[in-house]
Amino acid sequence: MSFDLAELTLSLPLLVVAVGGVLVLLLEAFSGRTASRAWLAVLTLAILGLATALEIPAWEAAATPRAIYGGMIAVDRFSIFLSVTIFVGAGLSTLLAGGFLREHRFEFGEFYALILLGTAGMMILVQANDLVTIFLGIEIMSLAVYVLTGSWRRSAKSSEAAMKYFLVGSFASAILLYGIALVYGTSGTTNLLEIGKSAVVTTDPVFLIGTFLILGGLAFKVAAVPFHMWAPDAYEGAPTPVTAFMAAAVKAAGFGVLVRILVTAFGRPSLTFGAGGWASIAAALAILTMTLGNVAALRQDNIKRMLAYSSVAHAGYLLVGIVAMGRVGDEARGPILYYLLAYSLTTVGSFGVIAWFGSHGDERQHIDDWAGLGARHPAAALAMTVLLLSLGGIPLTAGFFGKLYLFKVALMKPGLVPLVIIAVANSLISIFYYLRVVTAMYFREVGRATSPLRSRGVTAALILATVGTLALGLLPGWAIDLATQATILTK
Amino acid sequence: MGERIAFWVCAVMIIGGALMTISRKNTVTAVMSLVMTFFGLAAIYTLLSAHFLAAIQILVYAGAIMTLFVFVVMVLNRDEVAPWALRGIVGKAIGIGALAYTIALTVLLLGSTPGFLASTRSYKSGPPPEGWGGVADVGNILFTKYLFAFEAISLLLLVAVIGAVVVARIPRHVEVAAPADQKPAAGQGGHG
Repeated sequence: MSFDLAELTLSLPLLVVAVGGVLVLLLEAFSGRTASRAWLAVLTLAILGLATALEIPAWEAAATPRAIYGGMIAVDRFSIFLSVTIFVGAGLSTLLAGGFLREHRFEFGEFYALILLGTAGMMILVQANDLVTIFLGIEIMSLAVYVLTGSWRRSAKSSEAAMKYFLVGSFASAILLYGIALVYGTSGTTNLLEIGKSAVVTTDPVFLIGTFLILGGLAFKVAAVPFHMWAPDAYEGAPTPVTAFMAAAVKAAGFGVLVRILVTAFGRPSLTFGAGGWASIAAALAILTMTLGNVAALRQDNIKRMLAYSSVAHAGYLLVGIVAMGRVGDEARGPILYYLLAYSLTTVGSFGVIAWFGSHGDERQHIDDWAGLGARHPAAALAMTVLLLSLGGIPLTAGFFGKLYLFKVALMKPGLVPLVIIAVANSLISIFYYLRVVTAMYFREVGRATSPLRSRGVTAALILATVGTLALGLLPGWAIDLATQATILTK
Repeated sequence: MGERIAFWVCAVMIIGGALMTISRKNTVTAVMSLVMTFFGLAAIYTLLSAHFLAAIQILVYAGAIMTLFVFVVMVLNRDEVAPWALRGIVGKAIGIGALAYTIALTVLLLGSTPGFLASTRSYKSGPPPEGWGGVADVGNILFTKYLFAFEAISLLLLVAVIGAVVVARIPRHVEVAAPADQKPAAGQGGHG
């Protein structure tokens, strides 16, 4: 297998993001010690915009899915859809970061370089067609996010969160790597497609342990119960724009690789069905993840922590989609992709409002701090209300259609009705704690004076996220069409 | 048979070294136990005919990385603990015994599972092809089949270097007063 230079054009977006990250790093080195770093944020946005534009011709080129670079990387619309979702998360987080870093006095240019390089890692992850590239993608993404989590050096909580995230994440990577070693040892290959076709005996315990370890390692990354313990602490301690990046982009990349590995490498019926098949395990994990995430979110008074548990619960809804993918078939991938896009946009927006609300030395994360926001800052309160309702799945928002399509496709299999009922009941529970914030904003006495961020970037991010959430909720057709076209994987 | 004995000796060396690395309070003992693990790994690579990898393992890990570890130990300048302190030895002995019992039981159960031993026989075995594991072969495969992975690793190392600098350097804006976010947060719910 030799290397074809023409294949490079197929990964232009990845090259742009990776080289862009290095460029931002270089420019940071040559800029003055006390100069503002706002223009680096603008440059980061331009790089992400260019990469998004380059995905348009790539979308046409990927009409026939194939694997390039000796089978290491898959070229298909599935990865392009997810890459654009990740760009949306990264771009909005960059917009938020400009004002946030300045207000909290820890502005530094490497922040944007790490966002871009982390994004490049996620792009590798969603395109990975080989266990080796999956591991490398996960490590590039995770290292960048660990550092971003701990980048707020004067905040003890940020350092603590980074330490916890790093230790648990390294442990998860080790588990994943052990699983990769066992699967390679039994099947003789690391290529996902070849594992899917290999003559390995699927009842071989060594192979099965390997698959479970791989899936367990990935479950850590998407924060599914029982591997979610790191999420609340990491989300709460991280600087809020980084939390938004983690909740949106890391989750999208994690689910992307989970879908690909389940379908291409472990897609054979003997591994999918039955009591020990991944569809049954995913169903059990989905119920646990949704219920635990929502019940824990109910008793949080810190809004960031509450949204962290809500993010765990959303991983549970997405696992319902994974179950549907096993039981119903490939058409379940469209709703998963749409859900990831809708969720990313909404969650970045809601963390964005939290980032906007705090000021230096006063992060205002307690729910009591939000009392009376509706009277003081009606526009921000309205944006937060729309975003929270979307997370809860109320009609006219993106979240509603996400849940609708996801549950509808699961209902195509009668056996999944109980699972969908549990998921709907969980959505009802979740509305309770989302509305708690809304009632605090509108129906409680005005609290102490606020001085939220004044930054054009943050305002733009909030407007984009809110309008995007409403647009996806009112006119979901085009996004659904794109998601449906993106269901075909390289096989 | 000789290969089998060599494997078990190396395996005990690797796992024993790793256990001592995390259980010894004396930092120099812990670091030296890690050297034992690295040498065991290199020996396993040699058993697999991966000679080049074994050499790299010794040069990079047992050589360069261990030197750095020893430097860090020296710079940290922690209080000396006796290398083979006997404190808490009874508890540890019980723990190790329980672990060994669990492992033995698991192995026995797996061994008695029908099909387990049969399936292990289907793996490829036999000597590797001529030149396998040498510098030429590793170089060829690294720059053809695994070229993308090779390039991606450079990205990974870049992120690691940036991360190390960001975490280690002194913050640019130094303030005298402690910011409010350093106060312990009260009433924020339990851990998940």
